[in-house]
Amino acid sequence: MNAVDVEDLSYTYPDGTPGLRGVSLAIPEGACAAMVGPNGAGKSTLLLHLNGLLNGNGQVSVFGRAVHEDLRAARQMVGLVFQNPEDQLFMPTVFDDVAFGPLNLGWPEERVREEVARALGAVGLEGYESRSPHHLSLGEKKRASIATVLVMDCRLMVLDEPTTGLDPRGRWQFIELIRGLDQTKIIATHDLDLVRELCDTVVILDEGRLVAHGPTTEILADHKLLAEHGLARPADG
Amino acid sequence: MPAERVDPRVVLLCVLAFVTIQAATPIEEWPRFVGYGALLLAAVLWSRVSVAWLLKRLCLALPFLIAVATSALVVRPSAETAVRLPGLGVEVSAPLLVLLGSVAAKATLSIIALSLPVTLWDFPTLLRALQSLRVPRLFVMLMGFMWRYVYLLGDEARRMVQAREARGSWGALARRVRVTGAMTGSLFLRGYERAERVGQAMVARGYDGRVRLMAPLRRLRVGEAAGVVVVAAALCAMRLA
Repeated sequence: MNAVDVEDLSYTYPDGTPGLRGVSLAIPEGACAAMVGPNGAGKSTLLLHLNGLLNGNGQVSVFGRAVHEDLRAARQMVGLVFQNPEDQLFMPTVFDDVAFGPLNLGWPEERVREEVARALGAVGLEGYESRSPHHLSLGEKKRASIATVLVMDCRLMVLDEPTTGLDPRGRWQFIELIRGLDQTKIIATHDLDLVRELCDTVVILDEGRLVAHGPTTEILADHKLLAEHGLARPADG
Repeated sequence: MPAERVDPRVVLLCVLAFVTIQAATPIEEWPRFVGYGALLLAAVLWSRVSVAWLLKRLCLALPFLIAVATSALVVRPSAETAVRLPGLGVEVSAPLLVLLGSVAAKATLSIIALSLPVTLWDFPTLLRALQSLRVPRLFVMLMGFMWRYVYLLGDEARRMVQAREARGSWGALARRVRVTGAMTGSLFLRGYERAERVGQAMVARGYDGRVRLMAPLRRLRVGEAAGVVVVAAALCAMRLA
């Protein structure tokens, strides 16, 4: 089964700017796919469609179910981690933040407590429950952000620019954390080292169009393709 | 028992009773304020809160005092209400002077009383206590957001000031005002954009407009509830006696 099926998806922002133009894409279950492209290519716009935050023209299905037919199910299945953890972590304590999704799903409190402890343990933040997100380091904030969606038992993890702003050690630790997650993963990023390390397929978007989709080794070896879409140094001359 | 081991709800309720009752006391009955002050002093000593810190908090009352003091000096008193300030030779309105005294006394007592729980417990604990006291959940959540993001906005403002300083001197007053205005507008826009992104992050995790928070603290014990009743009764007695 495919984790994601997108068919002929187009989206135009309210100010008339085209975000996506006829994108079709399938990501199989268990894959780790990178979504790359220059700024404004439509990566984040596409990700926001995956759990129904945006609703463009076309079909978006997750694990065989149309996203807009059952938004509640889509939001449990798709864990969306925003680029800036300050947007993802909005509650006064780490516990409240991680418990936010499960409480919205209507889970009983005892289960919420257990799952929060499990999710924080999975990202190496045991004992951080009562800490304020404001007082965490950037690496800890990114980990806590992962915990906020991991706790919901999501099957698809969607990460927007996950390594932005991390120092080299924090970045590699974070890459190892992502590698250890069992879920299907889609990672929007400019970090081609991360793509090489983690992803088995690469999707290139540019100006709202899907311009390439294939195995990581093939796509990253095509310097002409990367250069054409602003992902590598242009060829001399 | 150390103050921080008391249930925060007990202290919040006592503070609420104190602030309400002293605010409802006319300043003309000034001896009662001596009693309120003594009670508050006892609470401050018991809580072992730093007096220096409390005095700093009193700066919050300054804008109100300045506003009333300015109006007392600016408003021309009528012949019947005019009193001459000894030493200054200025005539001011007696009712405005009374109002100034009232604002000074009530604001000082209220700010010190409200500072006690804020000092004794962290903000999330107080939010949980408020939730437990049936304060509407939306209001509790909004206070939580405010606490979460006020430092972030402060950081952004600081970075903007640094960027401004890095790009040269201040210049004339008109230019300073213009730059500060532009910075304030920019800060507002950033806050607005952040609010939109936070809203998306909430909806992405199943938020549908209904606020769901974990069940608050345990029920108050009989002894704790009795403590609140005793304090409230003592305050009522001080007000009415």
